[in-house]
Amino acid sequence: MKVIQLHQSEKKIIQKACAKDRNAQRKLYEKHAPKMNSVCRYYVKDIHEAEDVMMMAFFKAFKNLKTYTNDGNFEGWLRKIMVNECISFHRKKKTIDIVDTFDSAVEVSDNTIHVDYNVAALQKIINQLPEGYKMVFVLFAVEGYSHKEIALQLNISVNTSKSQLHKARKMLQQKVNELNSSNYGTQ
Amino acid sequence: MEPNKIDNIVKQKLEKRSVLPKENTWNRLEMLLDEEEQETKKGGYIKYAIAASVILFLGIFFFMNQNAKDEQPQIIVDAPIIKEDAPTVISTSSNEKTPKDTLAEQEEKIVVKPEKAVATIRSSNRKHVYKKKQLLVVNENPKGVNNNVTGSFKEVSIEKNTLAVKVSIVKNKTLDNEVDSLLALAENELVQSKQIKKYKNIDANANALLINVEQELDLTFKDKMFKKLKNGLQKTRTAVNNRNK
Repeated sequence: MKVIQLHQSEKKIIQKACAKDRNAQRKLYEKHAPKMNSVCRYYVKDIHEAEDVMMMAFFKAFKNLKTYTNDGNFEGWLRKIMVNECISFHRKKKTIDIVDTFDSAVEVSDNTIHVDYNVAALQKIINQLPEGYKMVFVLFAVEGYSHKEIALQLNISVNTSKSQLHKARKMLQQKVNELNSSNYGTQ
Repeated sequence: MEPNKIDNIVKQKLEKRSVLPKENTWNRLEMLLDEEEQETKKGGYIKYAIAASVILFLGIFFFMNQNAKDEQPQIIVDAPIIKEDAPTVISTSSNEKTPKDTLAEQEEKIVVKPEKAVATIRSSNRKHVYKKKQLLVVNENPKGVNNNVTGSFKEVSIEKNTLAVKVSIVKNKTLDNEVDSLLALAENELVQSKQIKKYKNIDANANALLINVEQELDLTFKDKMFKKLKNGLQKTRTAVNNRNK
C-alpha cells in the first residue's frame, strides 16, 4: 500500500514539475540528486565536473519532462539522461581514447578476485582505468548495456566494445591484486 | 555473455553509493531553469506576434481582394457609360438638379440677366433717342406728349442707374461663382479623363463581366477558394507548358 502511495505521490510531483512547478522540481531533484551524482561519478573523475554534468542532465530532464511517459521507472529514465550527458561530456572534451584492437586470448579469471574494499577505494581503482576502458566497463557491468548498445552509444564496433571490456577487467584485476598484495584494502 | 564476478561486485558496491551534491547546485540549476523559462516566454510572445501579424496580413489581403472584386465590375460596367456620358455632362447639368448643377444654373441665370437688362436698356435707349430725335424734328407737337417723353426719360435714367448697380453687384458675384463653377468643371473633366485613361486599356465585354460577377456573388467562400486554386493551377500549368516549349 505504501509503495503504491509513494508511486502515486511521485507521479503527482512529476506532473507538477512538468507544469514547471519549482517546488515539485526541487522535490524531484532532492530525491534523486545523490544517486544521480554517484552515477555521474562513475564516468567523470573530477567530483566538481561530475556535479556540473549532473546539473546539466537535470536541467535537460526538467526541460523534456513532457516526453516522460509515466509507465516506466522515473529513476531509470533519469539515469539514462545522466549516462548520455556523461558520454557527451567526454565527447566534448575528447577524452575517450578507444583503440580498436581485440585480443581474444586475454581472458580474466574471477577465481582469484577478492574485492572487499570500501566504495571510495573501488572508485579510485576505476578512476585509474583509461577512459575508454572505464566507459565500456561501467556501461556493461553497472548499467547493464549490451555490447551492441555500447557500440552505438560510443560510435565503436561491437568487437571493440568487447575488447575494451576484457582489457578493463584485466586491468581492474591487476589493480585489485596490487592492492591486495600491499594490504591496502580496508574494510 | 554471463556477468563476470568482478562486474557483480563492482555493481553492488557502486549501486549502494550516493553522493550528496553541493548545496548551491540546486540554486544554479534553478537559475538555468528560470533563464530557460524566460526565453521560452519571449519565444512564445514572438510566435504569437508573428501568428497575429500573419493573420492580420492575410485578413487585409482578403479584404482588399474582396473590395477589388466588388469594385471591378462596377467600374467596368460604368466605363462605357462614362464614355457616352462624357460629352453630355455639361448639357445634362440643367436636367439633373444636383446642388452643384443648381448653382451652375443660377450662375447661368445670373450671367444671363444683366445681358438682357443691358440689352433692354440699350434698346430702350435707342428707342428713346429715336423718339427724342423725332420729337426734336416734330417740335410743334402738344406738351403732354413732350411731358410723357421726359417722364419716360427720367424713368429710363433711374432704371439705368439701378440696373448698373445691380449689374455691378451681380458681376462681382458672378465672377466668384464663375471661377468656382469653372474649377468644378475642370475637376470633373480631369477625373473623367483619368477614369477613361485607366480603363481604356481594358478590353472587356460588359455583359460577360456582369454574368461573371453575378455567378461569383452566388458562390460560397469554399467554392471561391476552390475556383481560385483551380485558376492558379491552370495558370502554373500553362506557364510550365510554355516554358517547356
